[in-house]
Amino acid sequence: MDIKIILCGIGGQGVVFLNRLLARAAMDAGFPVMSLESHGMSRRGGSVVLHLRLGSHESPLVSQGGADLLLALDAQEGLRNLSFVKSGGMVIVNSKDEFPAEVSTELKRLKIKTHSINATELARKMGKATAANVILAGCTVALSNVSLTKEALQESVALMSPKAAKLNNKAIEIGYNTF
Amino acid sequence: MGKSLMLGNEAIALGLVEQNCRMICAYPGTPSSEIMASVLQQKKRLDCDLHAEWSVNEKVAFEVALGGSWSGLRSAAIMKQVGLNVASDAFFSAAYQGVKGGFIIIPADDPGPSSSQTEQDSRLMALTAKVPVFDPSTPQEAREFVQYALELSERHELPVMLRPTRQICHAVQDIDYHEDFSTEMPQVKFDKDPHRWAATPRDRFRLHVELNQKLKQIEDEFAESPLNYVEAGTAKIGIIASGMVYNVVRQVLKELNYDAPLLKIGTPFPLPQKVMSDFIADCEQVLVFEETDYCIELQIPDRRNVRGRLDGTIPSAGELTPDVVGKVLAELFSKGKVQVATDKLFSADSGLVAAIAKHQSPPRPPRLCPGCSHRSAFYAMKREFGKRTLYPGDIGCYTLGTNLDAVDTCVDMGSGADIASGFYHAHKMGRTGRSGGKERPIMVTIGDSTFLHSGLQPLMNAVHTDARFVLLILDNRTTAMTGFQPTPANPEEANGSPGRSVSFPDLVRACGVEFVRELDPYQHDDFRNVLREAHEHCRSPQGRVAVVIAERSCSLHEPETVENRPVQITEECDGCRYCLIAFECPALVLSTDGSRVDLNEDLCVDCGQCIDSCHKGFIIPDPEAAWT
Repeated sequence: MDIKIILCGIGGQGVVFLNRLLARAAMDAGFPVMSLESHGMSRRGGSVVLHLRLGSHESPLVSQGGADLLLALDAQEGLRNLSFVKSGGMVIVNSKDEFPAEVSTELKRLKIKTHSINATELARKMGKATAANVILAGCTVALSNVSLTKEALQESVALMSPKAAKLNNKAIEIGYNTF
Repeated sequence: MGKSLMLGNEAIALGLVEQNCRMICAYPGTPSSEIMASVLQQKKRLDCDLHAEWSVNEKVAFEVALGGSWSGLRSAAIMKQVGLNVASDAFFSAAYQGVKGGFIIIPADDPGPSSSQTEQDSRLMALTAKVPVFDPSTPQEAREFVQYALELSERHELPVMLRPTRQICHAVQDIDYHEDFSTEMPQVKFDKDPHRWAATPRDRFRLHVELNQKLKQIEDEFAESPLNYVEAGTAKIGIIASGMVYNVVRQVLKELNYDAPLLKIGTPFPLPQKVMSDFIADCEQVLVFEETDYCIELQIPDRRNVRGRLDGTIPSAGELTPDVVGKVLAELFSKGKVQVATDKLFSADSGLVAAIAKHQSPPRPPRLCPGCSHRSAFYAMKREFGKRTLYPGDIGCYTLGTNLDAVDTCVDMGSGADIASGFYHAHKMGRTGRSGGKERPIMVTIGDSTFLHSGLQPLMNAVHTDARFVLLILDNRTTAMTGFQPTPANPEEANGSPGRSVSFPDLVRACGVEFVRELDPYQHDDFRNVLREAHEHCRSPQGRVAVVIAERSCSLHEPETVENRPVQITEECDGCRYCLIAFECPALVLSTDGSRVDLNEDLCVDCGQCIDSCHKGFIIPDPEAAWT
């Protein structure tokens, strides 16, 4: 596997955790991993963009039009970063709405598959609105071509935060089974 | 033995601990902060005997670590790149005097910049100070370079720099680790040698000559070093690269299917000239990709066939992303006779970009968090003093007071009170001169950690020169922006053990300030009253600088200290947006149709502070909830 992913959202939504979860699961499965996170200014409410490469130790930096996958925890931030996705790539976005029609047309032309999921609402129903990030991880293994299984993801999330393992397992199930 | 996902900063920390570094001192600053945080974790986990401290500023960190090295211990000083400016006096001198235990200075650079006031290149500081530099390209390399750097430092008794950029510090990689490294405590002994450790100008000339000799030897060593190597290629244009951009260049060359010879430089200073000239002689033209400035390029004596940041072929500012590198190479190829299919380069689709632009929401710049006590202090200050007042600010989360028009200046750590003194003396002359005009109040804001870092001398200076302004120390009891490091005002040391805490009122009074008040900025009316009193005191004939200490814990660091005061926005809200602009809390959001303001319950921390931000009384205590 050599997959380039852009992850985005708003500070406080757990974008870094989502990044670490996918990276950790890939590492546990024996793949090399490189990522570039953003730390520092804007702890809450600012735009966050992370670059993740699974299956290679080469540059973690993704160019415009070079991402296989865009994971957006926020619809507006997803829109802002759409141009990272390459033709034939995929977008998974936490949103109750679709992208504006004009944008969707362009995405279709570029054969970019878009999946919207209202992960925040699903997470809230589950009892923890902030678990939307983990739900998106479940979607990622179900929809994209990352060579990771749902079970591997669940094992890794349990290692990362043992206390929340049960809740996170459920979140992964929900994300995995939505599509 | 195992694998772990590590930030570059964590990999550097691992390198320091496994290389038996026993004295590690740092001042927090993005992108360097996680190095010390990780050192402290490892120290706890491995129960190792090492001295790790969050020092009061970078100069102190450097000097304490230097004392450790002169006592025979491997030592490290860690900071962000502008922190090296603060430590530079010691840095330049220590290069002459040298070290005993391996001494490594780690300033983290910030191409972009993402959270710094400059894009300065620490390698150029090292070049000026005559200190050798290691420039890693991955977290794993950064960890390995720690060993090379410490060994070189000991071999030549010279401070050595490891220069990671943000792209290394915050890169994440799977790293192999083991825990069977040496834990033997070296002999601790300071050997007196006044001609070196207390060198006078007469000794300094000799030390300078010796330093130059050491650098010559090191350059020869670097010429043989495995950290500088050529990856052969058939193309006529060759590329020299170091740091993260080395990876980027490799990736772009692959996309272009262009087989360029590539010289990877791990030791940009002193540059191994033999390696350079051999490589350049073999190529028709050479491109130098480096961050953030032109350290390698500058050291090439014959640049006739060399292109880079200096001659403008590569942009002379900013991060070298795949998009920038791709554009540079595509342009170069299009000008020359080289046939390269540049359409293979990834790039944004123009149709998609145009469609996105039509529906783009405004950018989301960094903002103060919900419940932040700084916001309450700024809001009260603005309400009381309005637009005419001058608001010199400083560096920390509270620089975001710019969003509230409550910060007019920001230069460097500790500058606020100095700018205020300058403003006061200038405006005072202006008032008596021909220009006339009314006296303008001056309110300075500075955080607790920044005040201790470098705010004290400006305050002493202001008292002594009788500059009149109000200094607001925004004490949220932690260094919040960089990840909650303790300050000397906290009752704990970096490693969690009890420490003696410094008292702000005592410090301030000792500087000669008479008006000192401490209070909670959440008490809106009281806070405004005290600010007014402070201003009146400082402008009265017998007055002087007044200090108000706004005391309340960071709401993100200690959320339990935020009282439970949920609010409601009533039906009558008319969407006038005053609260959005003047209070600017991320939890207050304009409704989709723009008719009113809503509360984002996921972000709201129920601090109740926004009540004062609606003059019309449409934000009220939630009648269902019992306020504490």
